[in-house]
Amino acid sequence: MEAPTQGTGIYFDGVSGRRQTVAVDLDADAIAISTPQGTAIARWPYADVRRMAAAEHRLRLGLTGQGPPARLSIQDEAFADAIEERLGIRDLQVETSERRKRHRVVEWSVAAVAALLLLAVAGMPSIADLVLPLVPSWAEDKIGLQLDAAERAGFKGPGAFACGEADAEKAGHAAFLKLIARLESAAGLPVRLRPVVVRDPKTVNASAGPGGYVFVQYGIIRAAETPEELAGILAHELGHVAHRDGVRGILRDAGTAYLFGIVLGNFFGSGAMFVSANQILHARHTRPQEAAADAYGAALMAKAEGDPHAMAAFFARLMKRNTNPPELLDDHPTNAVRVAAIRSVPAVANPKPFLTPDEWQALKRVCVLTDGQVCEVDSGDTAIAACTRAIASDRYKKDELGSLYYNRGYEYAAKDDLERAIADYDESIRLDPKSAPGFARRADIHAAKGDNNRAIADYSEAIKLDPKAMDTYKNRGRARLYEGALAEALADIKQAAQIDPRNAYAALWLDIANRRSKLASQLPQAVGQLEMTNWPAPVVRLYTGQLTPDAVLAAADDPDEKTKKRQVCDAYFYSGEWALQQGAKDDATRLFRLAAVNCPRRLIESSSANAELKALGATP
Amino acid sequence: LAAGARFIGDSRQYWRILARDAGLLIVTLGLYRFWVANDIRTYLWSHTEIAGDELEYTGDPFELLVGFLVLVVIFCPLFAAASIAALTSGQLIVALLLNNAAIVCLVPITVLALYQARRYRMSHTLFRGLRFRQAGSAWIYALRTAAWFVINVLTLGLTYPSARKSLERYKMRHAFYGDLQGDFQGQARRLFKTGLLLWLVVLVPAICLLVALMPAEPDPKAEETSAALIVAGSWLALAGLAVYPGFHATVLRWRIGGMRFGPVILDVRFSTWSLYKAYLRFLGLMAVLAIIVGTGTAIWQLKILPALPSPPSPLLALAGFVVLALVYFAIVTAILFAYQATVRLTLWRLLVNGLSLTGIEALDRAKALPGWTPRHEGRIAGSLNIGGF
Repeated sequence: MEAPTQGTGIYFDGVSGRRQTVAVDLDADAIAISTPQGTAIARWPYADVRRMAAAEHRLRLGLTGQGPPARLSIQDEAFADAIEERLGIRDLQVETSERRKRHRVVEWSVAAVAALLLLAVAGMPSIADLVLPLVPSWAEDKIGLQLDAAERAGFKGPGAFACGEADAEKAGHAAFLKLIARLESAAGLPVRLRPVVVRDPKTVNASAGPGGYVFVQYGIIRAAETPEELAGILAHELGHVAHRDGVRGILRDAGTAYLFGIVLGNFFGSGAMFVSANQILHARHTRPQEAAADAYGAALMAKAEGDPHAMAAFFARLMKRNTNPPELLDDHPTNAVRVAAIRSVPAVANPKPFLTPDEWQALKRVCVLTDGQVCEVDSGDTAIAACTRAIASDRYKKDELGSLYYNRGYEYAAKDDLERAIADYDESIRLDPKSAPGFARRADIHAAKGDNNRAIADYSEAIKLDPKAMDTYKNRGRARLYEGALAEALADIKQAAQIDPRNAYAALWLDIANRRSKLASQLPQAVGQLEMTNWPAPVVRLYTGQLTPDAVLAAADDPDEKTKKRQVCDAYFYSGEWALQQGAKDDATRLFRLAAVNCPRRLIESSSANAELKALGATP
Repeated sequence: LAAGARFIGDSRQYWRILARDAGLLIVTLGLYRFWVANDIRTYLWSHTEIAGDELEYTGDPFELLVGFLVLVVIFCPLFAAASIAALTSGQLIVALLLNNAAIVCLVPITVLALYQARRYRMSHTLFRGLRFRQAGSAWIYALRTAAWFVINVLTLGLTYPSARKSLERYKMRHAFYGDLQGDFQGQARRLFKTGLLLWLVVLVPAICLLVALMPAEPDPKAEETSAALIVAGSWLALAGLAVYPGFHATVLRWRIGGMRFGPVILDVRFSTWSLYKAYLRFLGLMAVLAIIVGTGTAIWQLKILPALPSPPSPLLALAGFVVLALVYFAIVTAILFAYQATVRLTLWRLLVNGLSLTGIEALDRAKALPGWTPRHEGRIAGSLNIGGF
């Protein structure tokens, strides 16, 4: 069939709202539009005609250019097809060209987002470095002032934000200023330091903000054992001040937040900027900055004629003692590398002490704490006495009282006073029945007293309240193991090992449970994931056949009396289990007896040793 | 002469466009939003047939993108300056004020943007070869809105009809179809009469509950006080939610019934229940979304998270961040698009199919406004109006 070259349409001239029914002729080079009587209205050259947006199966035509928006609608489908053919626009082609345009938009957008991400991740630090010299010192001062105000506003007490105002704190504060003044004069910084001791006995941290602000949490002063260690830490923070890392961090984070704010259509980057500025104090200079501050700190210590290795000693001790590193060590997986780097600085021949012993003692008490705080952060009889006073004071709310009892119970347990511990845990649970640690620790004591069934009930309650605690699963598994519920015990211990695949105790107990269940040991496969720098790594090596029980016992030695006792206990008990696995019952009995004697009663190894002895038919 | 209108679109096709655009929006982290607005408007306009001829949307997404970029260029230094001022003021109070000032500014900016977006939409709407136009000042409109807002709050909403009327009249008297000037003839009294019932249903029980439950001496810390506030507040929220579609329908009927373009008189009739059904469909979709998100969260918490190494590698952490950002974006997009696909589409269909015009012979005599072209009108602030498809 021949394509029609004539038809009718509806025409709008673009200058009035008049609706005209028109005759349409497809000429050689143009669409001719005329009245039904034949009077010419318009000629549209094909090259200038465009298809305009319309419903499917309807054709609406218009002209390119800036003229009035005249339109021609064609209702007849056959005629519409003929026009499209003449114009060289097939439906399909329109679709594909639309799609191509769409693809291009998407490709560009994705590229833009990717470029931005790259800029934020890789470029921002360099941009911050470039902008840093342009930030005038008065601006840095003001930023510091602001962050200081924010820090003070965020402080919840009890007591004043900074320590050193009260009479009892003045001597300690003077010692603090003396210590930092020696470092400051050796450093020759471009800004004056504004050091503050923050009344926060729990946080083991110090940080340097813009404008010479140095915040030293009381927790780190408590954790330091010598003035030199504290000086080492402060020297490191002075490194951040000297390198202006605070402002650098603000520039970097704010820039990144800003960039994303723009793309996502959120102009209120200022809020993000403020938040990031606020965070910088609690955070995270990047690793090269830490290394630079370490190097600066060690050099500064040497310059101030102090021991440049003191900070390394502090780090090393914290690393050893804590399975969970405190804030200061957070985000630094290469702590061992840092310690080694600090120790590579040449030692000073005759380091001059920073403080007299009296001054140091005063500094250790620079913050006068409330009884509640002492109860929480101190240990031993001091803590117990403070807890008792705090409980008697009736200044505390119900849940706070619960945690006072909890802390006192914990301290009684540490003294192996199991009866008092259990009484306090009872009280703590009564006051705060949603506390998972309350149930878990009471369960530990029940287990230590050999009452595994009550222990299991308490552990189950603790798991209900906090299903992510590795210890609780491990200890319930142990209790079930000695109650003979082998399958359930194995499930619990597996769960524990899954929650924390780095924990060596979970792996050891999994090995014990596996072998009891006549299953193959998974320890050799698991070793790769375990934390193997600290205790109980030697015990793991015994189980994998790399060490003997005697070597483990030798490795358990430690200058700290408490640590030594705990590690010797471990060495006996786990060696006993190992001997049992080897079928050496006599050896096992001997080792379990030693464990029963040497282990503090509160530890699960103590009650486990007793349970094993009972099972072996031996007297403890 | 009278004429009607009809919607010739097909909801399945509309859903297809929405689904495709939603995907592209997520992939481009929102940069595609200008094209989404364009696609939706193009579809709705060209499937709206009034008195035998369809509307045409002639907007250009690139124009909106450029408008947005202009806005970025204007606002970035402004906000950077505000941020720097806030950071270096040295005063926490000043910093907080400056930062909150930015958020307070958002409301007038939104009103301004809405007016400007209307300007853009109108001037890019073509009907029978003539453009619509929205004249008037967005600033004056924003100021009037602000003033009426204060009055409405003070009168507990009883002045809402008068406020609505005043604002509609401002908009319509500055609106044109070709050279036909718009007008608004709706009466506040009529809206007040229908609205009063809804107002009583929502507000009176809330006040009664508050009076009945509140203890004689209100103590802001006491549990009874907060309980009374919670009960009254819950009634307000629930009753408000239940009544809202009816209110929406009432206001729309009243608004469109009051519209005039020269001698052309508009009116609309549709059933409120149809709008309720659309809202219920939207709620249903939200429930489905909640189930999906809930299941996903549960799987993530119980299955995926425990399987990951406990301190994740930086690369894994970055990947996790990207996935989380995309998921967040996908959820927000899903909510917005579900609304478009249910309430907005139904509303459009109801309004178009229920629309009637009298005096359409005047359309034949309408002329283009002399000396006016719509180039770029309203594109800058209009680019902010992402939701106003």
